[in-house]
Amino acid sequence: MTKCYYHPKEDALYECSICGKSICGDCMRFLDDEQVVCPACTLENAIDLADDGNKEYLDRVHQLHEDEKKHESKFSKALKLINGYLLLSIVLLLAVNMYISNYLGRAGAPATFDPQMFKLLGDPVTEMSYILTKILRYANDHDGNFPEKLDDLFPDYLEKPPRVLGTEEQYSYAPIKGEEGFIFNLPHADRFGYRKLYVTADGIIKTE
Amino acid sequence: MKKRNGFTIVDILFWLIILILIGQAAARIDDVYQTHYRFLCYENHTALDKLLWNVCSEQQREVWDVLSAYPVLYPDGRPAQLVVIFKPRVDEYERQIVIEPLHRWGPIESPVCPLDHRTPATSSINYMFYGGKWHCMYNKYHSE
Repeated sequence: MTKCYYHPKEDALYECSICGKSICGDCMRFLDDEQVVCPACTLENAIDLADDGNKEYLDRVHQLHEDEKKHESKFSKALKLINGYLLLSIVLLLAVNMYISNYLGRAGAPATFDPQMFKLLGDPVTEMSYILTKILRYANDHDGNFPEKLDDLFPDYLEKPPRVLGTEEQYSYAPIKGEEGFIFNLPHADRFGYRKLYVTADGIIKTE
Repeated sequence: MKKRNGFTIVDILFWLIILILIGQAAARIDDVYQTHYRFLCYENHTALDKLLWNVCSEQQREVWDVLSAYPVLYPDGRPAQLVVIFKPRVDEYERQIVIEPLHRWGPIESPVCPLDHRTPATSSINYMFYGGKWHCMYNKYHSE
C-alpha cells in the first residue's frame, strides 16, 4: 500500500490532483470544494487558516516543499517552462537525420539509368550493358523468366523505359521461347555506323 | 509552477514533429544498413579493377579505352568470366570485345555484392564498369 508523502506511517488514500503526491486522510484538502489537493498545494491558504496547534505541522510541510524546489535545478525548471524536453528530443532527432543524410551522401554516386550520361559516354554499348544487367536481374527475380518486352523493366529495374541513348528509338529485344534466352540488339544498326551488336542470354556481347 | 494536466496545442505540434522525424529516420535505417556494407563491396571493386588493368595491359590498351566491363556469373558451374568492351582503335572500325576467365590472374573472391544472398537462376551480373569507375548493380549505395 502506498504511504502518505507527509506521514510515512499512514496509508495513502488520495492523490493530489495538482502535484500527484499520495496523501492520507489527514492531509487531504479540498480546493474550491471540487479538487482533492495536498497541504503543500494549499499551503498559503492553510497557513492563513491554521491555528497555533497546527503551525508546527505546517512548517514541516513548508520545509519539505522548499527542499523539493531546491532539488529541482534551474535547467530543469527552464526545460519545463518551454517544453524543453520535447524541444531537446526534436533537436536530437534532427541531428540523427542529418547524420544519416551525411552517411548516405558519402556512399558515392549510385548507378542510375541515365540516357544522357550514356550518350556522353559516346557508345550505346554501355547503355546496352546496363540494361543487360537489369534483364538478368529481372530473370533472377522471376524464376529465370526473361521479360516479355524491355518496358517491363520499368519502373522496378530502370528509372525510365529503355530507349536508345535518350531518343525515341526502341532497342530490338526478343525472348527466345523454350531456350531460356533472349536476343537484344540495336535497332537499324546501320544508323550508328557499327556492325550489328547483340547480346546473348549468357551476358556475352557479340558483333556480327 | 503548477504542473499542467492535458496537452496544449504546442505539445501536440511538438509530438507531431517528433513522430515525423522518427518516421524519417526509421525509413532510412535499411539504407544505412546497406551502406554499412559498402566497404566489403569495395574489396570486390578493387579485385575487379586489378583484373581489368591486367586485361588492358595485355591488350596494350588503356583503362580509358574501356567502354564497359562486367563479370558474368553462371549458375550451372561454368567459370565466371569478365567481359571487357574496348572502344574501336583509331585505325579500326569495330569495338574490341575481350572475354577472360575471372580467375586467370589468381584467386578472386566471388564478385557478388555481400548483401546479395540469392542463388541466381540464370546468369547474373553484379558489377559493371563504366564512366571510369565500378558500380554495384545490386545496391545503389555501393558504387565507388
